[in-house]
Amino acid sequence: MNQISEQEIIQLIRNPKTREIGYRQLILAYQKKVYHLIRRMVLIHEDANDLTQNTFIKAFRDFEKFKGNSSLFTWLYRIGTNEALTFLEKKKKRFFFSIDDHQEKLESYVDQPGNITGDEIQRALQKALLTLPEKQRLVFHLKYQEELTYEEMSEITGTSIGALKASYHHAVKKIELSLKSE
Amino acid sequence: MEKLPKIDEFNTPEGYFEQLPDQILDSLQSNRDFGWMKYAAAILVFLAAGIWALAPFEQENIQLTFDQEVNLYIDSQYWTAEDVLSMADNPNEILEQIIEEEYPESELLWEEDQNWF
Repeated sequence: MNQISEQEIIQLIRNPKTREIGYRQLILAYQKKVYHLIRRMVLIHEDANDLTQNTFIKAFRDFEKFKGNSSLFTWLYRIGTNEALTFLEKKKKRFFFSIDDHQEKLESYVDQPGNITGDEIQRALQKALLTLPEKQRLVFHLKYQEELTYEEMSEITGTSIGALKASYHHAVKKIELSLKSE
Repeated sequence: MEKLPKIDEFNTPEGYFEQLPDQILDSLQSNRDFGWMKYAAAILVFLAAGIWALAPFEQENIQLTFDQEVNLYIDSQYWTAEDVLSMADNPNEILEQIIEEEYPESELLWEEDQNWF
């Protein structure tokens, strides 16, 4: 982003005359971060694209609710992670109705050449991540990949720092174990 | 954990991030345009239901017979749930509705008391 601050974006959106410009600036500022966070959770581009669009549309629709107590980035991440988790939860429930085995779809997505960039270690890591429960996987991404602090993660997830630390610890152990057995 | 590499960024279609802002803003506009249509559609459904309730004719019997026939196919396991869904115009919507009815709490994902382990 060409260095328009969060505060300026907020002011642009709050003014009806500059709202559209503000929306565009917000998307330009955070689209890549939001998309990649969601993509890491859902893997498939088409799903990540839908969820990223939904995230921004929901953010614009509910912008009045943004009180400025947290940063825009934290707020967007909260909406985005909720979108991703809701999506995965729905897919799991579909499996319960024997309609759609989304987990199997994701595993075969990782196996297909061209879908995952990088070497075999990347593929093994992705497969190990798929064995984690969704929320634990999210905690792992937020900490290990995004390098967020536990305080930021706590704001995004509304979960206590202690629970997040424990969750991350469990995730790391499981991944290490999974990679060792490969 | 230090030995593990960071996860590579995923590939995206060429020009994806250049087009995304316009796509989102277009969708936002469509949502707004569609807003008043939802109310119009609700009024139409309400009026249609009213007319149908006042003049039931013989359609009820025909509908009942059709429902019975469908139930017979399902009960005899000639059709599975997947068959019935695949015959519907909007299987995804029906499925989402069933799931929502079965699990109405699906939006509450960030409850504090959830087990994170």
